Amino acid sequence: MALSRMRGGIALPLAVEGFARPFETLPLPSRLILPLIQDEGGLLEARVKKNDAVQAGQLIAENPQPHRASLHAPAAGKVVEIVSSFRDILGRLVPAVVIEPDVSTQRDESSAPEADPATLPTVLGMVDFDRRTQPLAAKLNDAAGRRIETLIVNALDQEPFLFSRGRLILEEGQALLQGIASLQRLLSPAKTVLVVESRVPAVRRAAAALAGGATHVFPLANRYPQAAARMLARAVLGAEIPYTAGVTVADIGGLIVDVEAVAALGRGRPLTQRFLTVSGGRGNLHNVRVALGTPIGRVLECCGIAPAAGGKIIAGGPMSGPAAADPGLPVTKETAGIYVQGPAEVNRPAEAVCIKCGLCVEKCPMRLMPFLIAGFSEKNRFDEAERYDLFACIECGCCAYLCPVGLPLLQFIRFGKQQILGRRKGA
Amino acid sequence: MNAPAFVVSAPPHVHSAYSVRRLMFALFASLLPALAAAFWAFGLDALRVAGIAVVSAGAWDLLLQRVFGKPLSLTDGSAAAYGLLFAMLLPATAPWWLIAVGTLVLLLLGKHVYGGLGCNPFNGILIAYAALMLSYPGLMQDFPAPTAEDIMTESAPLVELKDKGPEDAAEAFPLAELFFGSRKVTGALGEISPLAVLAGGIFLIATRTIPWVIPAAFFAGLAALAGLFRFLDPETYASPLFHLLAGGAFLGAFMIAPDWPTSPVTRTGMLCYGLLAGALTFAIRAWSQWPEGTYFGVFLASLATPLLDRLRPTVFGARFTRRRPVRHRPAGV
Repeated sequence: MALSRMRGGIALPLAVEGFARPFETLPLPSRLILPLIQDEGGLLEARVKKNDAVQAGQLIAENPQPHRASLHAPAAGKVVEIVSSFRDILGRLVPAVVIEPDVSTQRDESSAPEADPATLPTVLGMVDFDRRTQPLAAKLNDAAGRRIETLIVNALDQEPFLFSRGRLILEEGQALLQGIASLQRLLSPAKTVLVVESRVPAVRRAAAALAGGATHVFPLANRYPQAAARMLARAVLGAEIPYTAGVTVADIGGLIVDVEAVAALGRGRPLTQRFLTVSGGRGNLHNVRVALGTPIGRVLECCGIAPAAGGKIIAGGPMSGPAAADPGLPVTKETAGIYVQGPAEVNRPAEAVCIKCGLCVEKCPMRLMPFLIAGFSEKNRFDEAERYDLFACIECGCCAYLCPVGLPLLQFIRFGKQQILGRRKGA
Repeated sequence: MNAPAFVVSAPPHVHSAYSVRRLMFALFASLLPALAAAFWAFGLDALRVAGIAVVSAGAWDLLLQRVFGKPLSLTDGSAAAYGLLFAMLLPATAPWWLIAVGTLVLLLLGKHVYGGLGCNPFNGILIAYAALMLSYPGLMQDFPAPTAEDIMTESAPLVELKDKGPEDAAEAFPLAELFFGSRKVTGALGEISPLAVLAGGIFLIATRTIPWVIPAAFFAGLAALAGLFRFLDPETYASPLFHLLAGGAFLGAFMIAPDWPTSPVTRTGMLCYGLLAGALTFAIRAWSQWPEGTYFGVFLASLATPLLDRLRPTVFGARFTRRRPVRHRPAGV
């Protein structure tokens, strides 16, 4: 079954060799910067003060709201500073805890704290790395009390330029099995499916070795954006969920958790690291295990990638990741990968007019009319943009990727969303 | 800070190989087999017409860019592609000034007067064709006599159909000769060999320069209406295959109807547009004074494009209905 069960979207080239690169554990940097927003769950409150000594895995910040994710020290060391307004990669001004790690101690090797399995995700700072990082506890809470027939463990990488999820299947099988087991205890699903890239035999074999009992392998050809929750739910469960607020995959009897989150849960230790694919172009491709708070520039240095002025540093994949202005920005729970482009690869949007070729309409996985909602947004005609379902856009970027004219369609669509939301807030 | 400056912009940070230039080059390339067929049938006159059309289109484009204060550029290839496509609608006998007037109308009313490529509500090729057809109907239909020895008529197939009826036309033009191209057939440059046009059309679909829906729907619309009337009155109406293979139906279906700015953008819209264009082609051929209805048919159908663009696809998940919530207490907690 080498099928993609998706209408629309694009077949991006898959660099299979990315799955063959084992995870390298990167050394700790001299400073770990931990912004106090790490997911969609909102602002965290620091639980440490300046000059406090911290242990690896020690709680350093908590979310005052229920069903969120806490934050822990990735390494033992000293809190050297609590910055009150740190500008993060998305331009948000947030507080940040800066830790100077004690190089003589090992990284996080603390044992699992004793806790109720239902609150464990909050206590351990677990998140789900969907297209946007969400607290795992919020997801599980949404699913609680509803019949979850299918637990979907997603090992499809968000973009074919990233390989860390596929690699986790190969390397972290044990943790994965434990994570799956604890989710099964929590949700008691009728079956569990492990969605993997169908075109990589090694990954399929490793996944098959993990299957058994109520756990099945579900191979899919990763046609972008197949890994997005709505597309994945449609492929596995055969039903479409709308963009109406409050409707989630749980409404069609499923719960999607990505493989990195499941493995982290299985390890049972506080979440203080990320598994990333780092790509510097021309085959310079690494899979790395990196402590949260490590500056992106330091990660690149370790991988032997020197970003050139006038190039781009993308925190995530090139289809949907945000660009980083400063290599000093840290890896957070929201960093999906690192992709560096040279100045020649940076594409510049055109100042031209849509020729109405219809490619964006044909390939939009949400079946929208991107050129139209982008055009309305560009012209400040937000009511019309909304009438054409602006908010259904999942921001995959297929439209702008394909546009022959080179229009920055996704940028216009995002602009429209921001303007409408801003006006609602103001009203 | 002395760190190097990095570019920050919205995703996606990569782009496909598609560009307007690529679309135009593909369109240009797709016409070369048809041009070769025209050269085979009409000799150097075919190349003369095509050459004048391409060069004059480029010259007018530059001049009009100057007049409208746009940056001077021919690099997107649109003038060359549209120039060559327009030549395909002309007879090999077209005088140079007729071609130049046509390309002026094409570039002025089909592009610059509306602000540039993509802003034009009407297909420039067809505006130019209509203008010349109404102003110089004689010159526009002055097709050279076929060069073969054993010809039954000097007329173009659709003219023969109009003048003599379906039986004589079918006898003079066997379907195979119409399809492969023959020195017994005359017409505009692009009307000689549907096979050559089809080769270009397959290239356009394979490179996703045009969607397959529009040509398919065009053929379906034309064949359906022609088939219906053939069934009702075979004395008066030609067979659907004759209608498909005679004249410019293939050229219209693959190269003219899918014109990007003036054809619909949604699958359903394209389907309706193609069917409408095909049906109108038959109607004009059968019941108007013009023997060839393809170009006017496509032109009329394109007027419905703004309306057809309202046929939106159903948004993902729009048919969702919430299941009855099932109360459930998980076992392990």
